Amino acid sequence: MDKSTKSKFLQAKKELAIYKWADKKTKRGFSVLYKEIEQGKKEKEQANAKTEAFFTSVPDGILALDLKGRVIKLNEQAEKILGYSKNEALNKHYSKCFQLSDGKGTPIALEYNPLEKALANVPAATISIAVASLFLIKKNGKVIPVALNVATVAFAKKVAGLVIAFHDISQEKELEKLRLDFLSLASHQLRTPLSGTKWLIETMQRNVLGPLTKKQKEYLDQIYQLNERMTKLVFEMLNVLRIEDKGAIVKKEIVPIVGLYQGVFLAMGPAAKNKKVVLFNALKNHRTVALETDKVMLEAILECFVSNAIDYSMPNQKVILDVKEEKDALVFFIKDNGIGIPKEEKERIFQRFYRASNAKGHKPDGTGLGLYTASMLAEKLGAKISFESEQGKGSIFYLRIPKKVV
Amino acid sequence: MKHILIVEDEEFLIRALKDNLELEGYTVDVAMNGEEAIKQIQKSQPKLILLDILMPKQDGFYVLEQVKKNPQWKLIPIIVLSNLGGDDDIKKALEMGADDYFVKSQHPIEEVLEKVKAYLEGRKSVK
Repeated sequence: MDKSTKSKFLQAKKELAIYKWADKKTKRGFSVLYKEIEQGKKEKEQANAKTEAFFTSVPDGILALDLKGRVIKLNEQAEKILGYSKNEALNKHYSKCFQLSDGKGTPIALEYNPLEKALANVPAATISIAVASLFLIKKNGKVIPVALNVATVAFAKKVAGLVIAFHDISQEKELEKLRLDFLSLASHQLRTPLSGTKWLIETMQRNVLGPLTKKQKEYLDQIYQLNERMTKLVFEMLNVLRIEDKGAIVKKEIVPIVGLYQGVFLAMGPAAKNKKVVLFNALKNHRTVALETDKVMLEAILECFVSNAIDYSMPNQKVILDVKEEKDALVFFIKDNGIGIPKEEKERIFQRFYRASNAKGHKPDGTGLGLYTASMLAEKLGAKISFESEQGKGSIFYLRIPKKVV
Repeated sequence: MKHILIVEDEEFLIRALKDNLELEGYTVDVAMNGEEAIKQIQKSQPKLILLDILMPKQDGFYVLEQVKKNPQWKLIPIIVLSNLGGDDDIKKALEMGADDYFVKSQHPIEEVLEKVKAYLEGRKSVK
């Protein structure tokens, strides 16, 4: 081999070694890359499997919709509740398989349909709607009560659609019905002997059985008052049990406060007149104010405050009912110049059956359930009760209630 | 003389109603369940019925149904006197044709007597 050939040979050998080295490196590099890809794939599969496991194992039926309201995913539980298979539901508008109705099976109007509400609002904001008492028409035509939650789903900072989680609440409804039936029967059984005593005493008071002596009449009047007190206690206790029932549903409606005041004054007017207390109605300043809440519950709270204000005032004193408007809330306040609450008892007046020491002497037939009931109702409405009071000077009770129930 | 049927299963309530109504000059029959009530209506054709709801055998809703579907009886005023005070019960009875509904523990007997008088003197007419 001549010199130049040898040099070329050596050069070639060197290059071959470099190639071999590079090849080894590349292979190793590819192998690492391959391993990483495999790992990524595995992780993605695992994540998918986890999502799928979550989807199938949640006890709720889950339905995912795109922005046009088409079903893009549903889990087995949803198939089971609705009676529609994946093939029947996927890629079709949700109304084909998810028909909301009232209790009689009449489909609900679009403006009350939470899904339509959600779809209409989708691009604007992330929302979450929880509905406690709606009904669903299954594929077989059966109407079942459902509770549902609707939430928007965001993907890469954009709203991608809706997720609806729902479950059949037939069993809960059945239990609630049993409880209410029991309360109704218990109430009937307790009232029957009380109404008997009431009417028998009234028969004697009307002298149907002959004239009574003055002393007999006094005794009879006292027995009658005790019976009335017992009747009131039974009524209020059963009322408390009804409200304590977790199933008690808060209805939402637009309540103009003008109507509210009129209702409260109509209910409390006779009591005020009896006691010669002046009820001052400040509603004329708030004609345009309204709030979204449960009217019956709100009226019951205000009636409790006004009734207490009347009961614990002296004749010719004034009771004022007014409202202050804040940004997101209304603050109702009821002011009296009555007997007030002793300082050391302020913490206890919302307890069940608790009656302040000065209240007992002033009004012996109170039940100690009024403020307790009002505080439970306020909790249901998301409202807060507070008060200021000075013994011998009077009290102001406040109810701060959000303008919209969440 | 105006004839009234009391349909009630509690002796003490029957007594209070009967004594007061007789003092007002009415004649009174008593049935202690729904089945007996129908027999009494056939027999004595009352001018007004005071009707309890929860009773043995047949209840007050049954009596309401039978009276209001019978062309000869449907104009007899029926005042329900019950201690069932739920909105659903009151609504059901009024929808079935009851002319008035009193929750006994919440109303003095005088109010019932006044209502009876109003119907029998024609000041109040059947729905």
